Order: sequence, then C-alpha cells, then structure tokens
Amino acid sequence: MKGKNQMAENKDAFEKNLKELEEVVNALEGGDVTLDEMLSLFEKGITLTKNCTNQLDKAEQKINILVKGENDEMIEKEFEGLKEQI
Amino acid sequence: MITENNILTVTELNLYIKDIFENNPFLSSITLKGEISNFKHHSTGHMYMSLKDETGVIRAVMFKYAASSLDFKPENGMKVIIKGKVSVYERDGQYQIYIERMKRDGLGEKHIAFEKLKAKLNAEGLFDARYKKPLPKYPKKIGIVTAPTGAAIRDILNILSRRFKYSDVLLYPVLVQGQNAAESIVQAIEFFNREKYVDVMIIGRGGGSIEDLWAFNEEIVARAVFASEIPVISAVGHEIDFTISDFVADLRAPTPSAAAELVVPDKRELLDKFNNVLLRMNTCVKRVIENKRMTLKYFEDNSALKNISLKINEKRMYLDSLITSIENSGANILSEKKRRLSVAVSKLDGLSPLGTLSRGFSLSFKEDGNLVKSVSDIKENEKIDIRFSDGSVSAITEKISKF
Repeated sequence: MKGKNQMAENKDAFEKNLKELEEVVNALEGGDVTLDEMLSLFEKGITLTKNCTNQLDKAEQKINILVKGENDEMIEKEFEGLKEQI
Repeated sequence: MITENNILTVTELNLYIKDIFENNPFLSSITLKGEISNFKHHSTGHMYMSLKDETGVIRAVMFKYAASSLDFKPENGMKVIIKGKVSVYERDGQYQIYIERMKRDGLGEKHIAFEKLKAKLNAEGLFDARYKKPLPKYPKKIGIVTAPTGAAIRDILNILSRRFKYSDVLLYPVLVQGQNAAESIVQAIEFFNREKYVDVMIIGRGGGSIEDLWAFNEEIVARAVFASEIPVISAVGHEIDFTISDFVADLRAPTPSAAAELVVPDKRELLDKFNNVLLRMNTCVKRVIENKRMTLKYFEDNSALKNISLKINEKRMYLDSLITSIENSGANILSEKKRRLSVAVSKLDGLSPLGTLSRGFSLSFKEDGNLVKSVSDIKENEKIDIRFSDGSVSAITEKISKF
C-alpha cells in the first residue's frame, strides 16, 4: 500500500514540475524581473527540465489485470497475456 | 420373406431416394432461413455448415462456384436466408441442402433497433457536447475494458508502451460479444467508477460483424458510459464502424490503436518540448546579460564617471562569471539532450550545432569569451580556447595565415 501511494506522489510530481516549468519560462520571457531573480528562475528552470526528463526516462509502465478472488472481490495482478500472444 | 429377386444394394437404394428428392419440384427449389453453425471453409473452396433454428438442424453445402459470389464472410451464429435444393449425398445416405445463393438475415432489424435507440438517447441529450468530459493530459493510470486476448488489447498495449511508459495500465477483462457481453462491459465501467482506480478508460474491441459489435449498441452500455464520472474513450471495430457507445463516450477513437494514441502524449514530443524550453531560457538570459554589459560599458567609457570605475569593474567581472556559468550549464544540458535526441531523432542532428561538433568540427573562443569567426579576429601568440563536443583545449596561436 505504501508503494502505491509513493507511486501516486511521484506521478503528481511530474505534472507539478511541468506546470512550474511553464511558469518559470513565462516569467523569464515576460522580462519583468531583476537580474538576480532572473538567474534563480533560470536555475530553477534547468532543474525542473532535468527532473521532468528523468521522470520520463525512468518511468516503468505497470500493466495489471483484474481477476476475481475467492470472495468475488477483484484483485490486481500483473498481466502476462501479452507475452503469451507475442 | 426374402427372395433373391427383390434384394437391393445400399447404393441402389440411396440413388433411388435421391431420384425422388431430385424430381420433387418443391425440394429442388426452396428458400430457407436459419442460423449458421459448424461452419467450415474447406481448402477446396467449398463451404460446409449446418443451418439451424430453435428445434431443428439440416446439413448444408455451398460449392466453390456458388461461394465465390458471396459479398460477406459466413460465420457461426450468423442469420442467413438461402436459396437452393435439397438432395441426397448417396455415399453417406444423408440428405442435405445445396446452397446456390445466400444473404444475411436480420440486418434490417438491427439497423432499425440502432436508429431507434440512437434517436431516443439523442433526444435525451446523452450525446450533447456539454456532457463530454476533458481527458487528463498525463493519465497516471488507464483503465481498459476489453477482451484479455486478441488484437485490440495487444495493439493498445504496444502503442502505450512505445509512446508513454509513464501511464500505468489496468485491464478489466470482459466478454466483448455474445449474450452476456453488454452486462459484463457495464460491470467493468461501474467497477472503475466505484473504486476510482483509473483516471481515464478505453472501452472497445477489434473489428467484427455487426452482431459481434452489438454489445456496444446496447442501451445499458450507453447509459453506463454516460453515467461514468471517469472520462471514457470508445474504440469499437474499424474506422467505418459506428456504435451507440461511440456517440455517448467523451471521445470516439476510430480503432483501439487510435485510442491508445489519443489517450497519452508522445514521449519524444515532450522531450523535444523540453529542449525547446531550454533554448528559450538560454536565449532570454543571455540577451538580458548582454544588455547589462553594454550599459556598464557605456558608463565605463564616460570619463565623468571614472571615479566609480572600480565598482563597475567588479560588476563586470560578476557578469562575466555569470555568462560563463550559464554557458556551462546550457552546454551540459544540451550535450545530455543531444545524446538522447541522437537516439530518438537522429535526423535532427544535422540542424544542431552540437551535432556539428560531434562530427569533428570545433569552436574557438578568444580569452574574452568571444567566438572566433575569422582569422582576423586573432593575433599570433594569442591564447584561445577550442571547444569540442566533449571538452575544450586551451591553445596559443603560432602562425596565422589567411586563405
């Protein structure tokens, strides 16, 4: 259960990073910032871009299938079907 | 009582019976409706099958010459109307129907049912654009409601893993055709909504006959799709197949593959976008710093302000160091980008200056950081910095010759 929550948090982080990156670029291009502000925005932008790229590169897709358990409840299991078909 | 002169052979009997069938004007030209079962398309081109209704069955054969004029592919479960004759296959002593022509039956009814339901749900507003929910841009988990085997799930998973591994996938296996299919699809949609497991779902199946796709024309499926709080993409059959669930869904995809393309962005496009963002930031920051430097230079050249030149020099050194650090961070990021892009979009290489560097070209910079564009920019015995794609060399010019 902990792993699941952590996964969800990571995934939220990607969207959050993307949104922040947009804000950084807009602020930079708006030009209405001091030199120091601009530099810290620039640094932040670089970090955010690196984070987003890393998250995309490292993403591992989980493919699961729902199966009926003993008491008719649905259980998530790894989907193996595709391997058999290929 | 058995006497020698009334004994028949089996063949003689079968031929006699066959003769009766063949000479019967009613049996030699009949029109019959029934459902196909035990269908076999033999390698010789002949088709063997049974035709049945609720209580009876008759064997049937359609020879190659007759089968070649069919405008559809017969399948088990299909309702058909045929024209032909009944005769006897004397080898087996079996009577069967020899099919001359065959057409689909019940399509008219299906068509009417489809149009009726479509009109009804449309009048209720189930297809209205205002009820269409937006799809998440970067879905964390995609629910798929389809059969666990077959082309549809395979195509969807292949495309999802190629485009965007960031999204997890959860398959709810369902029956996609037959009597219980609609019920099973409804259960899956309701399950995902109850458990809030996924943030978007694809419901669908691969191509098939109108009967095969029928579950997606059932009212209970349409109502479940409409009631879903999770956005639904409907992807049934081929491009030309339209189903009621297509109209109710938040988005219709022409095929299951297309649904997978629509539900996630392409990783390569995102990486390109990041690259573009980096370039924009670099340009922006460099421009601002250049402007500041020019302003400083103006003050420095103005003799009335000489007394603060020391402070100006400090500022200028600060700016120079910033330029260097920005160029460095830019170059680091770009070379990392380049490595990735050279894999993904190698054809873009030719356009990038780093691509040029990696082919063996280099850039030379003067001590003040300016790019050497011509030999007239430098003198002999001057220190220059030569930048390659993977590092730089400090050098002193020895001899300068102009072409």
